[in-house]
Amino acid sequence: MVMATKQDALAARRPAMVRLKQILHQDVGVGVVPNAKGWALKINLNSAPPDDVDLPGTINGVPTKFEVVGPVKLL
Amino acid sequence: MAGHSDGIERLDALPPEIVIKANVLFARTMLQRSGLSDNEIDELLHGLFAGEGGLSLSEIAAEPYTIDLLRKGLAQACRVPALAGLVEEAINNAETLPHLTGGDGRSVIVKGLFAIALALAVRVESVTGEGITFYEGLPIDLVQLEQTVGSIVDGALRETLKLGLDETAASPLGGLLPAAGAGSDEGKYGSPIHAAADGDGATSGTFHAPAVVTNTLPEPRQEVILKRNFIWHDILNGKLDIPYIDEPRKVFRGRIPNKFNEQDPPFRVGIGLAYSGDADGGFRIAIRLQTEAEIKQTCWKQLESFFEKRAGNRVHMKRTRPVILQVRRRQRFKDHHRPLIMGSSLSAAQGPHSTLGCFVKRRNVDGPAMILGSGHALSNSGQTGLYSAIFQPATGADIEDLENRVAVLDEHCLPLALDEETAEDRLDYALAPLIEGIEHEPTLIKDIGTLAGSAELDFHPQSPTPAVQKWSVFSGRTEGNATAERLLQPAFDPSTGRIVHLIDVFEIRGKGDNVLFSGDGDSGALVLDASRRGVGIINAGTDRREKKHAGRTYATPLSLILQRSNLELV
Repeated sequence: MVMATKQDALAARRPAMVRLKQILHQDVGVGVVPNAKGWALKINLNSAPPDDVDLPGTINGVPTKFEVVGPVKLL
Repeated sequence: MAGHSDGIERLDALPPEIVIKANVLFARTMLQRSGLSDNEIDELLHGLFAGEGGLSLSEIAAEPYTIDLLRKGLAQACRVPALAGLVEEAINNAETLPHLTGGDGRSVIVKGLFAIALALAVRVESVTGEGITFYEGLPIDLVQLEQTVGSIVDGALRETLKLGLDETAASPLGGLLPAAGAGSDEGKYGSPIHAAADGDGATSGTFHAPAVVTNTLPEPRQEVILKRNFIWHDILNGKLDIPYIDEPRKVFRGRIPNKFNEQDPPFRVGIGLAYSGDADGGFRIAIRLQTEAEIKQTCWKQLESFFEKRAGNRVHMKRTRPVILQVRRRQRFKDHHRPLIMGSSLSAAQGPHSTLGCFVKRRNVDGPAMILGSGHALSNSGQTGLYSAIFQPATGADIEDLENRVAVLDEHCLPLALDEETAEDRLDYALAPLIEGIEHEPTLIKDIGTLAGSAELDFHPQSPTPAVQKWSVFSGRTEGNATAERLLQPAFDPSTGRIVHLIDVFEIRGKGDNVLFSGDGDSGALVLDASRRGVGIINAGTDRREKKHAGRTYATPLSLILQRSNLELV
């Protein structure tokens, strides 16, 4: 299992946004979450990705966790 | 033009649901002239209206009751030369109607026009949870018609209730709920029948089953909505001498849902009037059996036969899906809180509703207590200037509303960034010193307890989802768990129709299935941890009606805000 520190994960947020926007053609939210052995990127999607898109398991060596949260709006 | 002022004066009396729906309908009409695609129009409308008053576009569209009223209103309005002229003027020149503008011109124009359309043309005086009332002075023929129709409906209802189709069962309609038909019930005979409920959705009390009818007066055809009151309690208590069916399966033979009880009868019956569809106008008695259960064909034939014998072709019967009563939410955000409390509603003049987060003051400075609230809401997405008044309750009040002014905007974020590169230093919060003499309660949080300072949420592998809670006047007390931190999160800004970028927010999931942590108007609300320490200020969330997706809330860490502006809690 890939391990990453919180600093690794924080540093990978912006590269992840850029890369995923290229892959998915949608704005994504990117944060960090602790996992069993360190930290991972939490990636929020507006909608489910197309079936033929392979989502990366790591970005800059940081594990990824994807979730379709739907559109986010200011309340 | 006397009608104009009447309509505008009555605008405030109209329920916000009506006004919002009017806005949407009218805006859509205008936009359809622009050549935009339906998708583009939907997106624009979403930006303009979604979230206002707690309604989503899908909810607005799904409620044919009011849309139908508005269509009638607009159609009627266009027959009145002065109103038709206003409609045309608004469409062609939306910014130049001085007698209607003030604040957001487009919005006010739309509201004004539809208030006029509703109040004058449809003759609606008010729409409340208890039904619809109309102006006095209906033409005598309409009054007579109402009396005539009323007696027919009463007679038909009583016969329906006493109907017996099976030797062993008193009535297949026993356990009748006095609800009315559905808006989806638009068939050959056209007119939907509508329902309204009082209270907060209880299945008791007095229900009104208004039916839309048309008379045979010379053109222009006039319409009036009649109200018949059926009292559910009286039916249940046997005061109307209605036999109750104990074993409906004897009639329906297993096609009734298993969990049948007296609160959940096999049928709900709507009864009213429908357009006859005949060339000379007129109406028929409309009976709508609302049920999810499949009705046995032979049973249906018996019902039809019964009515045909007694009323000939004056009855039109149809099965509909169950009607969900439209219940007005209590508008708690209008509650006036003095002393000010955390969680009460706030707004800038003509700004969106939001929530008072907590009370802070400058560290090491002897200054007034300040409200900490939502940056995007209290600045109206950057459109409200510094030193503008902040109002409680959040009524979108105008600057003359002196009584409700509580604070003055002193510091807020720049408009939130439109791209992530410039989002770096833009946290979504605002500070507003209290006006002298405005009392506040700095520590007590309704339904939660005493605020125990501030803290940073503690995410670590052993506690990956720390518990949080909040109270606001909009959505009450809710509990949840923080599920991620330091998010760079894009969000749709309904005020501008643009995507903005929140930085370093944390994410919250509501506790339990389908429980959302926050809703519209909750921006600014203080999020607390399990130890009642303030940990964040709510900014954004997923649409509460997007049920296919995960419901999430996003909040800016309180510690970050306190540090950024050198603040401490009062």
